[in-house]
Amino acid sequence: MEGAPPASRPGSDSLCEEFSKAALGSFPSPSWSDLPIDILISILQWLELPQALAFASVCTTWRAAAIGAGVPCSFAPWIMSWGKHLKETHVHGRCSSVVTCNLYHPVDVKKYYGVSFQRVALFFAVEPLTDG
Amino acid sequence: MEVDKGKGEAEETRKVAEADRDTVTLKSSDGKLFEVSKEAAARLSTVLAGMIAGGSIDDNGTDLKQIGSEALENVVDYCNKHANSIPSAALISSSISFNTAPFKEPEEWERKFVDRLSHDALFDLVEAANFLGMERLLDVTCHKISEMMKGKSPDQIREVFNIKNDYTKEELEEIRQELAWAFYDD
Repeated sequence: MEGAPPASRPGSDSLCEEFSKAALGSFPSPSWSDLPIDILISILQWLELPQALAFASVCTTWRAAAIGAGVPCSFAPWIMSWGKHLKETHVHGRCSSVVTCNLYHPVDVKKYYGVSFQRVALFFAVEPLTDG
Repeated sequence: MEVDKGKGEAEETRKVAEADRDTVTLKSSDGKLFEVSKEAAARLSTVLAGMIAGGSIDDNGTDLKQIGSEALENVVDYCNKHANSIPSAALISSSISFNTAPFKEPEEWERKFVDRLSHDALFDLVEAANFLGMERLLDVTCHKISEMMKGKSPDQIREVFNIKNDYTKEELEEIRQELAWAFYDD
């Protein structure tokens, strides 16, 4: 008896299998939804508000990161000011200027998000201040 | 087997040699060895800087069990490229305060460096950068990831990153209402 392999510890073995199944999930490759929260926050700092909101809607872990980073996910009021810079962009050969508004968190004014507007058309520009 | 006699001396010489070397050897989780300039490693990674200062660098390869060989190769490659192509001080200054000081955009070579990576390689590299406390590389990789999201709706982002939507129907409806101003025309 003693030398035999531990034939049945049914609980632990099947539990282990369950756990590894759950951990691997249906994604064999690494899962972007499980990135550590500090990495997610580092990603968020490159996003303007509309994109940060989209980020927050992707899955529950990303939403938790966005809330942690101070992205206004609810209808909470924010303070808006004009950004300092006006930037000329050339998209598909056309020149347009873009102005940025900054939205400040009412409690923690150090946190703010930019939102870019096309100056002439005043269309909401989801595409932020990049040159394409 | 080594004889005891002279061992202390050998140890001493080894330590001196180690201190004199200007590279450190890093070992990936799958046992591959990579050499990187000690100066660049210490400057770009707070974790490696701490290990170098604390003398916990192993001459035969410092174990980095959390990092696979592909990611470690990219880390080392980044360190070498960084050492060669950047006038140092400019990039060290980026502060961590959230959104207060705009981060310095990636340089051309840094963009190219991350652009050639597959999704999986980028994922591993961002985790490695985070693990090693490489602030600049973390910025560059996170910038790349953010670029991959720009102009995309939540659905499109899920598709790009192969992320499962784990919201309930009710939660989704709530989010849809919140985002209506930004993403939906109706």
